[in-house]
Amino acid sequence: MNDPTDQAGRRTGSLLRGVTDDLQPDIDLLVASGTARGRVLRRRRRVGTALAAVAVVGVIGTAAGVAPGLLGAGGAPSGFSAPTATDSAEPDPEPTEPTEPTEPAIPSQRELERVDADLAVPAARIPQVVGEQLGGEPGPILRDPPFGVSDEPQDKTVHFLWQGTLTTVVIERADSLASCQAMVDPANQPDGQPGGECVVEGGVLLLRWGPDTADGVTAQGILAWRHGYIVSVLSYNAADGKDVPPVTDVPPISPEQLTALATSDAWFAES
Amino acid sequence: MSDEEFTAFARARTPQLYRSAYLLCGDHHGAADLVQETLAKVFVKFRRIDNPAAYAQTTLTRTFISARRRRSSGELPTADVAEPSGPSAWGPGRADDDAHRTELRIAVVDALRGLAPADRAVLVLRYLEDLSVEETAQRMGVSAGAVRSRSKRALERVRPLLDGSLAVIPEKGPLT
Repeated sequence: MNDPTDQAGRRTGSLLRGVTDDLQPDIDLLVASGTARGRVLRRRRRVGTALAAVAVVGVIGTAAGVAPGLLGAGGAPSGFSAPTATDSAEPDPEPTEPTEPTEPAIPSQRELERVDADLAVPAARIPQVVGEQLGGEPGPILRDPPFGVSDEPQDKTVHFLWQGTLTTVVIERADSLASCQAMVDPANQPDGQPGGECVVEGGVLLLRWGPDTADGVTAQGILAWRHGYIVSVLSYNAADGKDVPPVTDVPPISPEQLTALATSDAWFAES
Repeated sequence: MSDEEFTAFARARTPQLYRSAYLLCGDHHGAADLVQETLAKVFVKFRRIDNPAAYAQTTLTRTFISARRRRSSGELPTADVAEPSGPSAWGPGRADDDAHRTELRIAVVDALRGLAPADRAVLVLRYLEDLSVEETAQRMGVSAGAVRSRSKRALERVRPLLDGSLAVIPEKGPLT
């Protein structure tokens, strides 16, 4: 193990353990609070699943009215009984998974991560490109912490104002980030709800999320997997991401405009 | 498994989860929130998971990355990692100095803040949790190649902290 990287790794491990092994969190409080939040989450999922099942019953009931022969003499499929929307003592249902389109199929991960183009737009010019696409003049780039600009060859991040609201464009290599399915997985979300939906439009995998309101600010965004990169465009309804008064009722860049921006060819040059 | 079994598991795992969460979030408030969120999700699935410890660590990592990513909290890698004031500042003479440990902890947290959230997660999983590249990739839901490149980058960013600091920061148990 004379590899310098191995040595640095071992030393880093010692450093990280050394500076954290005397941390003294309040274990009782954390466990009690986590358990309480878990009970709420479980209850919410039970109710959500039951309501979804009730909705299915409604659809089947409608179908029965139209074509009772399809459902058998009883008007319901054999062995099917309507659940009730109560917090029963039944075993936990699996959390509902995000709906994945079956057609067209999501491209393979290998395909999504194959880099076949260079990024063509310097980070500082991204707001201008957005302005050209949407028709308007962007506001200033936000360079002070906690914002800032990243302008690496394969990694661009810029935050700027658009109609007085925070707008963020991030372009990163897809192979350094989680898959779309993992990003929307309810298990990875703070509220246990799907973190958006993965869809394929025009052969492009998109993650659509929002509008979501948190910390008093509403935001929505689109992520597009293109040329081995993920282009993320986010629009907020306030000048910052949290704890500031809203400037507009809804984020000013619509989902359709976000999609057009995220799937634009303007970001890429042939490699 | 009963709620009591979950509680016993949670009590046993929370210190380690908290260490990871603290390094990821960089502050006690964020770490506590992340640990609670993780425990809540584990609680929901506890009866159906084979390896609760691994599941908890995966949940913690993905919850952290997902929250940072979706809300685009504005975190960005900083241009430079602040270097310690020199090897002498963390020299052998301060080995048992808790103030020194606190000082070093602050420096480490500052350095980690300079990393992208996913780089930070790689660092924590690979070097605090001592997971392999493949295990780290699985926990994060990314490729092994991505973990390798992020590891390399993250190590480069914390390298200034390594010189002259590690020999003097012995690992020890919780203070009593």
